[in-house]
Amino acid sequence: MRIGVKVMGHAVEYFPEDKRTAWTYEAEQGESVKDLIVKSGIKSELVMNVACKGRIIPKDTLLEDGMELLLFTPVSGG
Amino acid sequence: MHLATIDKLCSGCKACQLACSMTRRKEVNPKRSFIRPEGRFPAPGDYIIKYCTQCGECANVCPTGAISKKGDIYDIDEDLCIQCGACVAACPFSVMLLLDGEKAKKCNACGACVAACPRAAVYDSDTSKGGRY
Amino acid sequence: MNGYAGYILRIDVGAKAFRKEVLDRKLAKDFIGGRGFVDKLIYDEVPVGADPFGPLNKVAAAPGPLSGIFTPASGKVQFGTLSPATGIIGDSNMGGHFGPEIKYAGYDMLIIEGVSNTPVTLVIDDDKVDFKDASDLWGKGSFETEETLKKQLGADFQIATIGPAGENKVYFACINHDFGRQAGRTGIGAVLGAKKVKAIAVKGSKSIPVADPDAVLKVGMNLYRKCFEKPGLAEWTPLGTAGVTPWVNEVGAFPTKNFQTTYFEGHEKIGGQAMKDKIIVTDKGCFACPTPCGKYSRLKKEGKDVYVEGPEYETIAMLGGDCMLPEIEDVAYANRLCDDLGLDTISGGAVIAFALECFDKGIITKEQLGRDISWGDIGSFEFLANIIAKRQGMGDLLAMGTRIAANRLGHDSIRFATQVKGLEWSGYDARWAPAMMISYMTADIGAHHNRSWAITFDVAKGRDTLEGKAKRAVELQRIRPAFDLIGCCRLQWVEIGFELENYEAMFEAVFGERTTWQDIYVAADRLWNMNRVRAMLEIPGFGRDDDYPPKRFMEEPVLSGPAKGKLIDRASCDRLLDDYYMERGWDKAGHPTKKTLEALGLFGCIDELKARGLMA
Repeated sequence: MRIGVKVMGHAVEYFPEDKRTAWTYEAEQGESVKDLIVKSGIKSELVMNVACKGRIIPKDTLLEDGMELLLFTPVSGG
Repeated sequence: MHLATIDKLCSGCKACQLACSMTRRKEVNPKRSFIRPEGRFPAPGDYIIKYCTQCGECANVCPTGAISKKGDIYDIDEDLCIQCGACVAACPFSVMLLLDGEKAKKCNACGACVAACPRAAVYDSDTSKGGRY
Repeated sequence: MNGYAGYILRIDVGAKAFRKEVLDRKLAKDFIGGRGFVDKLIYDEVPVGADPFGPLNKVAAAPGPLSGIFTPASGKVQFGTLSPATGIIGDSNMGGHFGPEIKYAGYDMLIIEGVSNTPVTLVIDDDKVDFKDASDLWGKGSFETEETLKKQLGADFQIATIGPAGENKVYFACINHDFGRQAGRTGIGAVLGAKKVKAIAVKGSKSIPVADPDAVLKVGMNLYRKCFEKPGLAEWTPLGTAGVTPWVNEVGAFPTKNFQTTYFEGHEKIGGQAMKDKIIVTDKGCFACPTPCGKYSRLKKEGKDVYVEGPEYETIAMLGGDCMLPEIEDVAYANRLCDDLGLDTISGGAVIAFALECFDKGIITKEQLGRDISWGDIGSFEFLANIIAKRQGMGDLLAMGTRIAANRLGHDSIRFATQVKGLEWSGYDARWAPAMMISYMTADIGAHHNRSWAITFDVAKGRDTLEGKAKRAVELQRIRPAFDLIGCCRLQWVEIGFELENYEAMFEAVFGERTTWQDIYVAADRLWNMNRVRAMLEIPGFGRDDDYPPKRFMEEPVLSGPAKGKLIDRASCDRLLDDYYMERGWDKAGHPTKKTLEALGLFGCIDELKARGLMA
């Protein structure tokens, strides 16, 4: 399964170098969004929210072929 | 291009005014623009965007015939303008501009506001597209 | 001068006189604008030891050189004064449209000095200044005040007001603007109240000079375009800063029950999603903002519509978690109360939480209050907010903030007075986040988060290690305050990862000469050190001892949730401070060295320290 991933927010600077804008993730059956985050070398706590098709989805959502995910890092401190 | 708006998308940021004044006058001055997002606070808590619909009210009242329709827009022939201010008074949306020492000026639907609006609250009704999309 | 209006407006409210002064080029070069201007003004013009509420104190307000320009979120204005809460330079910023309007009226800074005999509204209309009698508005809430003035003066005036808390000199009184934007911190509203300035109304018709208008247009369009193309713009905006609430709970940093713990059971009911589902009526953007975090909300209270801008995250943390208000409607109503009374929601929440804990412990009694109060009860909150703003009974003491109140109340209540330097701690517990801890400990105005928001760094690099944490705090204290100098909001950089490099193209188009962030960082460091020196001049013995967190954070482990059992003990705080001072070029006592001050060109500071025997 191929999953498109994009990331957003200042804390992407703490992500692995090749995971700071966008990439394609090759997923196995039964993997969740959280698996994708961890296996991509990202600390799960650095992802505040995950959006798919304009909606926030839980991190335990199972991956489906062709999903386009957006990972948000935490934001605040105005 | 024909301007159109969706008021409920507006957040009152005035990027449209900045883009307008920069484009038409090369000045950083939102007060000198041809579009006016107006907030209604504390109640009901919303915005109304006043913009030139090319309705032609200005042309109807101009005593010298300086304003006429050219293609999709009403345009001002500055040679004929006598700075009387009739168009400013007649504009239903308060978006005509007549500054001291200048001829009257109005929106020519250049689309700068559309390009700058972060919310696509003002868009081009010919293409149904805003700058953000 | 390109990017600058070129003038400063000085208003003496005692003499009812005003003067327009040419902006000093050296000031602009060394301190850029915004917070740089207002803090430098206070440093230079308010004598050491002045009474914050006396005629010698001043209030300054300054946008920055990018404020009002065609640049994303260029709507910030900074206020500064000698703070009643901390006794040192205090400043606070707000968004909305007030800052740009000051520029369009032709000024880079407003200076308000003296004390008026009677309540006054300052009406600034380009070159004219009117001293409008405000006796009819004195005692009125900030909403009614702004609404009345808009009707009287015209909707195109941008208005800043104070509420009853400002009039009554509550040490954490805020300035309100645009029905919901606040400069909340360090009690600047109280200083305006002492001067009897109820409101400032500004309208301007002028253009801001820029070096290359074509380039500003082109770069500006490009910057907006780049924001639009950022993935997630559409998904980020709907919840604003409130969207971070679940995350802060998940990482065990959410202030709960006066920071007794850091996870709030039921936080879903007061977070961003609950707001969106229940109360938000529109997004409300600040000037030129492509990603409006401002949410405007409506709720029903006793059958009537109540409007409020927000709540934003800090308010949710301090009124929701810290006072334990359980429903988003309660938090929103409490927010509205604070705004209308003119109380900073951060310090206000912290003070009310402190009072609730004192009540639990019998330090404040039912007899003293004339009633019971309890956590999570909106009636108790409303009662306390009102007696504080009006300084009635126990409210008179609480109105001076947690540090003074704790020192008077005794019973070791200073242990849980959540403040540093007299300023209450904002919405992130740092007992499991050393970089965030040192950020709060060392923020120049007191325990405020916006100088350095480093909690993601802790999460990324390990939350138990102290290594590299102070260094990161110093870096962030350079980058984030740089935004306070240029007059832009930093949230586009934080939120959607809008790259810092983007601004440099605009600097060049506006100023006509190459300016880099590095240039601005130097000014930010200069300001940081100047403020530290002023604190040393102002408070005998000021230094290391003023940089420790409240004992609660060093000695009482977090009670529950993901951070259960965590604390950062005094030895660890010492290690963080040692690292921090080293990074800053300060000595172990937390004093800037002569070499550091020289490198920043702060020769006047050296002279003053020497004159007072504080430097060899």
